[in-house]
Amino acid sequence: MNSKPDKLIPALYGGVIMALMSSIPFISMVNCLCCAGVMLGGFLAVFFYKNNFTPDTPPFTSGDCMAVGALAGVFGAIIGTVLSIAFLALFGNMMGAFILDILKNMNLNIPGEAIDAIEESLNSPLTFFSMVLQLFGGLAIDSLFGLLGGLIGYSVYKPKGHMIPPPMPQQPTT
Amino acid sequence: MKRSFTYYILVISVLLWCGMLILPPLMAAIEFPSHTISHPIYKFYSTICHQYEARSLFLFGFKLAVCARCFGIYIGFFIGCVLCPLILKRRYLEGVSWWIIIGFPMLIDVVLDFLKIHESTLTTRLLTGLWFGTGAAIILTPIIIEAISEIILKKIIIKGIKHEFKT
Repeated sequence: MNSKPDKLIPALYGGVIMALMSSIPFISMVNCLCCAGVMLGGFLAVFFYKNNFTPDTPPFTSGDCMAVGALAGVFGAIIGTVLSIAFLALFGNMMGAFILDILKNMNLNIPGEAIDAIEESLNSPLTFFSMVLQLFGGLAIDSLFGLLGGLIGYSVYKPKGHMIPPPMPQQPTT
Repeated sequence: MKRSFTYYILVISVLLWCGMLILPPLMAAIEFPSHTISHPIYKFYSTICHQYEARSLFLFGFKLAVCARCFGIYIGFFIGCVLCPLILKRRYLEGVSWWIIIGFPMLIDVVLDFLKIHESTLTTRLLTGLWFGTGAAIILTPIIIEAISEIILKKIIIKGIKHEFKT
């Protein structure tokens, strides 16, 4: 029986999709629904991983899918941070300005001070500290939700009749 | 489904996550008018939720860390984790059909609101979120426990093999 396929490449594909969905302006709004874009990346990583299996390889397990999803999250966070900095440098904070416009036009009776504070945060320059903070925040959030996406992928593509193997008896120490 | 040590760790983790959602309004109320502690927590959650005031629940006059729908999903996930051992006695819920069943009300609420056929309210957002979160937990809890147990098992086996090599 062959060994299980490599997890790195499917995780990288999932991570790239995750990064694109998290950094492209307006498309990234899909993450407003409980990180749906990030979870989709983890889910797709499992989909790509599942496609590498042949009948003579052992079936994939929930642990494999969890690892692939979390790994996709790590790739997604790193690539996503780089891409979002690039998009911010190229186009500015388009989405932030768009959301501020909506808030202003919604007649929500938002105090002027609050609007000023939002505008100030939109116009604040990108510092090295904020980039590092974004990267570490992304690593935590993306790996958590990528892991969940991977487990959702497992629940959908779970091989039929798969059972978790019983624990091996411990060898007596001599 | 057996209530194992891993299960209790999962329930406590989800409870902590849900508790973190009410921490920003609590801190904001305590430290008002300053936002030194609550602002970074709101900022952290802003990456996973839009946090629109019109779509959020309020506590002590300050909005929760996430919107009503997300809050419903997370609280539902906790309820689902607690209910899971009572509901799933023998078989696990598998396949895409269960995801369609739990996601359908939320999808309808979002799509009809988008098409301006029906206006989604805080109640519909919260209820559809609760339904989705509870269902997701019932599907995912056994899988999460299985995955963590598998990783722990692998570590025990590797440790055993290393020990064998040493002796």
